Amino acid sequence: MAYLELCDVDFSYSNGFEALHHVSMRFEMGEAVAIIGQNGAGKTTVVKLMNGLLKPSRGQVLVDGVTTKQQRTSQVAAKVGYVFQNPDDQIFQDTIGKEIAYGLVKKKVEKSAVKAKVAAAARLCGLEDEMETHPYDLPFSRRKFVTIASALVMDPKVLILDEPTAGQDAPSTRLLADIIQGVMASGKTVITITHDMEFVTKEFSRGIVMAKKHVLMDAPIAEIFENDEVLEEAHLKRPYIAQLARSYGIRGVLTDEELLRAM
Amino acid sequence: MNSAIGRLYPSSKFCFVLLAIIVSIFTPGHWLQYAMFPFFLFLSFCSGTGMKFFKAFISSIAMIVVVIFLVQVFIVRYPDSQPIWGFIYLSQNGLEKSLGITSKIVASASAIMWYFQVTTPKDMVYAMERANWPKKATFVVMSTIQMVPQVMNQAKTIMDAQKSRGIETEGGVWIRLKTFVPMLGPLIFSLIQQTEEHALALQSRAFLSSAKKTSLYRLDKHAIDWGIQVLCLILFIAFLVWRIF
Repeated sequence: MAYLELCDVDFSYSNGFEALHHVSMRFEMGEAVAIIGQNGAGKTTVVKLMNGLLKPSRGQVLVDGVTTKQQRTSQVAAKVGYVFQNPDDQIFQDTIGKEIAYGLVKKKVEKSAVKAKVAAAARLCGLEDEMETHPYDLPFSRRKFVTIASALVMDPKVLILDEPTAGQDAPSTRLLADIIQGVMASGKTVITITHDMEFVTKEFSRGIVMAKKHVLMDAPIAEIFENDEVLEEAHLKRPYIAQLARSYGIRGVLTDEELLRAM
Repeated sequence: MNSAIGRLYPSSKFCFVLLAIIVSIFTPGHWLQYAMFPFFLFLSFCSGTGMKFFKAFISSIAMIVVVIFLVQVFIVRYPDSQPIWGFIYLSQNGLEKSLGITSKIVASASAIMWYFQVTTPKDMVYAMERANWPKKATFVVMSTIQMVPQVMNQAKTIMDAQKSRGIETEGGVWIRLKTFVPMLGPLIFSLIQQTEEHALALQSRAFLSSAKKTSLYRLDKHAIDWGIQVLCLILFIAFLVWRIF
């Protein structure tokens, strides 16, 4: 049985706007999945349903076999962590160390365990030398890593990242890739919403394309970028390398290494 | 706001609200003032905002009115106060005073709530600009009106962000209070940040330029607007004559 599953889910906001219609998807442990699609396709609504922030209007969201309708958000969030797009919505402690530790302290975890877990999360997110720094003394792009560390430290089985690459430079994007690989290596699942197709091709094996409240395609990334119809309907562009390769008549290429091999 | 009443020029509705408040404050007794609530409720239904008005009134003004009434009648001591039990007294003077205070609150709050529910901030700002209000004053009024829904949305986002990292925010009053305090930090910070960004955006769009502003948005004053404003003026003069002579 899948760890996280959406079964024929509809969702409408309180103003009557329907954001999702007949959406189904399932995630096993140890996967890295990218959710892609243009703005307004329903991506953020889908992940908020997974995290229990929203409850489906119809259908079911099952986390570890239990429907989210019967659980409080904090209960679901202990299993499915969600990092918001804007870190400033979350950060409120006066040092990065305290910020990362906050959730564990609230859960009354033993002090020595808190220290060890915070240190591990900070190291993974490249913040080990900033533990006493005020979060707002860091630039916006690095504050995002503070929120990722705050989610990781709670040890959720599934980690959801909403637009993690937005506003990040190359070293930070590499660090993000390392974090995703690290989380996957520990047997957990990472689900990421992103518009960065280069990042998608490099870091993810499976993709879910969404458009107009529906799932258009759920397949390996390479198959998605070969499907002209789906890309057109979802208004998605191939990665630049794939576009360049196609202009020379080479198909099935997504990364620069693949292009070099094909040439 | 798309009703015939909603489309009236903001100053016409404002004149009417002002008249209702003045009449309520300076008319003796309390029945006329209490009657303002059903009157504005009826107007709200005609404007398509009936339920919204009713819910907002019950959840805010009605609570305040009940508290004032209870405190004035049973807690505050007057010369005619009769002891009932412990610190609770009953007073005829207190009853009259509370009716006087609460009736005026009900009347004024009903009028003001109706006005803000049937008039968009956009219309208000447009009317103020056309009436040559100072630009800074217009901006202050607009930001104040928009601040409450903005703060509420922002508070919800921050609360969601805390929930999504596994922090308990649902449950009893104590749990809610405990989560509300840490939430204030990011809320105030983001509001300051937004204000700074608004100021920069306004400066970059020539906010302080002395040139006359043009607007793509149009809202015209019709004959009915002039009619309402003149009628309000006549009724105001008639009221003055009645109260003074």
